[in-house]
Amino acid sequence: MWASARVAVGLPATRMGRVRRAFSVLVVCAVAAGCAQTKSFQTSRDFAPPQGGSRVLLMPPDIEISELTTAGLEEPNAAWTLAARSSLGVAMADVAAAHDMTLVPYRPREPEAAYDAAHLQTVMLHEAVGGAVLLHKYVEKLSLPTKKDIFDWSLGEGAAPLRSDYDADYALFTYFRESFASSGRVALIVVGAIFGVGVPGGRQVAFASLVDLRTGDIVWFNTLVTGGGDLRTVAGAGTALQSLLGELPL
Amino acid sequence: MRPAGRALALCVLLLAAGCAAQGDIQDIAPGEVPPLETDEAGLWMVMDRAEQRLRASGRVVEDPALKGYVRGVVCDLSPDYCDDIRVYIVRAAEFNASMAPNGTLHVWTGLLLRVQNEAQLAFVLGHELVHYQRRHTLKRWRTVRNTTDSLVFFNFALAGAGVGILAPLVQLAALGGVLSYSRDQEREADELGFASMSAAGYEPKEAQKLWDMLLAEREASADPDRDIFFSTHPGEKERSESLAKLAAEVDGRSYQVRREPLLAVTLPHHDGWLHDELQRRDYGRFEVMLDYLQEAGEETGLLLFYRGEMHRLRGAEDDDAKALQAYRDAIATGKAPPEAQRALGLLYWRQGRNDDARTAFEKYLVLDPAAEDRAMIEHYLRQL
Amino acid sequence: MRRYVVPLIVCLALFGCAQFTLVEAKRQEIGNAYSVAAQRTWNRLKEGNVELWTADGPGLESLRFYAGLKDGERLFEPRPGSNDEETLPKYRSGMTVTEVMEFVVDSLTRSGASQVKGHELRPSAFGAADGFRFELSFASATGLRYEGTAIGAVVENRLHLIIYSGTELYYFPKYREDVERIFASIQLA
Repeated sequence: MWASARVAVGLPATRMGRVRRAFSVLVVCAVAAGCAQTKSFQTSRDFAPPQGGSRVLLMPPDIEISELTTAGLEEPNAAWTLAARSSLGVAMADVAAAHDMTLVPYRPREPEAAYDAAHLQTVMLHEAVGGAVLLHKYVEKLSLPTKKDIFDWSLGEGAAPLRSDYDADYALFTYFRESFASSGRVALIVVGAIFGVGVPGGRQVAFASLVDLRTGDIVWFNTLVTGGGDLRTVAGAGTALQSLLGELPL
Repeated sequence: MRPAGRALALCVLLLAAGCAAQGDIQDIAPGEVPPLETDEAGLWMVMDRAEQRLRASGRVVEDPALKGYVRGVVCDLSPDYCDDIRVYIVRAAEFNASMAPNGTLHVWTGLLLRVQNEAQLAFVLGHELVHYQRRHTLKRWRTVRNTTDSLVFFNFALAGAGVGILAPLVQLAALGGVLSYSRDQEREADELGFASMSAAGYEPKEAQKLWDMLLAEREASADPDRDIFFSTHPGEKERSESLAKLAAEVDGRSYQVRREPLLAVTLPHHDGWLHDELQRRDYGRFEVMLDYLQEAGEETGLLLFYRGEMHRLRGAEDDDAKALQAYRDAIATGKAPPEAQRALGLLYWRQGRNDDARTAFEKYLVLDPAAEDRAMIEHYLRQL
Repeated sequence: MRRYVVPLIVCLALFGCAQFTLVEAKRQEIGNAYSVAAQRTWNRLKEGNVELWTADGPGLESLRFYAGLKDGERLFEPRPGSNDEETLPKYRSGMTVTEVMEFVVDSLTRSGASQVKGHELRPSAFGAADGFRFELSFASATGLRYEGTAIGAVVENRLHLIIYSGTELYYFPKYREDVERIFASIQLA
């Protein structure tokens, strides 16, 4: 009856106080209670991480945190995005420790650009390959018969520009989108519940892709969809990364 | 309270609490960057990402003379904001320029092909700069956000009162560039843009001339509703009259039009840009555009060649004859591209005039020894 | 990614399209016009007047087979909700090969590719018929670069065309040899 909702917890001071009290009865989807859904794939090809820990090139996470307006528009929030970027950075260190990984941060030569010009085609190729995985492995209707029970997507020699510029065994690409219901949206969810109309609240969507820089193969791919969590806090980022990267085969 | 009454009360309460603060949005100051927690910073973040994408897309024209020239016009119009504006020349056939809230200014090559002089260019750039200075995109976003928010509650309140849910709201596809300005904002941009254009010494009458040219193209177009510039800058009908009025109000000083500096940097690109426009296959529009370009009296050989290409592609009743004539006229100027001979050859061949075709193909290969399609042309010659 | 993902999802949502079927490694009929010998498996999708084969997904690489394109037909379907119908490039019978390459380049441009160029137009056999070959280069809307190669012939005023394209990095070269073998195996019906 009551749609689950993620209440906008404010970095900015808003008129949340009164609203928060009024809606404290709302059920908040707890990640621990199993609301987080993940689905991963591992390469069908031979895969053996190096002995004695791996060096992983951490590509700049593609992050956008927004506020979900009453009408369902997503208004991007720069402060929240920055907070999430910082929290995820901190939480990644824990993941690295747990998997015996040495993180090599990606550093563009020009601070203004997200990537070096020499790496652009590689990054865009990965985006296209990631898109193919999402479409043809995660959407039943679009599955490819030749890939039934096979997962062998790769960047091939397309990974070479990264391999030659960074001393790393793997590259980790991550993508996060998260939105938080504004107070108006929360109200709408409640109002909707009164009239028996389910109104979607905020959500968290992420995926991760681990690329073997030597072969270009995507050795592991995972997606995460959840109605709960908060990437802006270190604890929240930690929980999300635990779900997303917990099963990293390193 | 009955359920409907309770819901309505709730809605009113939350509306009052929840309206995004409009306040008084001031002009952006030179060098100003919005504080991180504002909705404006959110818009900047999205537009910064879009700017990165544009730079990686391969669609940006890197010609330093062209970039420097357009940037120079921007800085003359607005010395205060010069450092905050980043100009990108984008390879795209349509007439368009757009200003993003973070200072990214797109100028499409379709616009640079069409403006007849620097005064017309200055009018468009001055207009776009006003959108930046007055923060029009941010204002639009807040209006849309508030309007849609209130509408949604209106829906539910009505539902509560038994009137039924109204049609679902349409999501905005993207922010910034796709958001169209309101008519009031357009009027403001025209007035203030016009003022900066004449203050910089440009002939005010050129603004209406440009607008009338765009209208003429649109009227001849096979697909008038697809005009990007018109759809994001509404108010085309009243605009021509207001621009004429604005020009009349300015005093009778002598003003500059400045054709040569514009042509010096754009003419070398015309071949490519005309080809892009012809790919749209909108022959009515293309013909109007060619007529205006022909007025300038430059590059006649190239324009005649493209007139021929247009007739060839349109392929209506007497288009073949017109194409033939246009190609021949182009070649007669002595300044036609080598492709004109090839085009002539293909047309003669289709008409069974094999000897003439052979002559034309051979001339083509002489004029362009490094022709990419030499193997095919030689194959044609063997068949003739 | 949006650029790759959206068209297929729209396809699914709006048209409930056909799913991919398996192409076995043997001779395959294309329309009633010609046949080719596949020496490896592919995934096939039929949409409108084109049969598409892909190994890893159409955004990465694809073989597009056109069999007997008639006067007035297009290479790509107009995008849903656009008013493009009138102005999209169409095949015209009597087109010279030079104009066929222009038709392919312009069609690609209108379908959303950027910086599209056709190179090295040259005569070539298409099975037993006199045909042509040319190379392509283009980029996606985001700037990811692609390469392509095409073979075709005009037979009895109808256009047969096969276009192979893939990302410049890795995917285009990956199946290049397979595709050349397919081209060499063409047999007209």
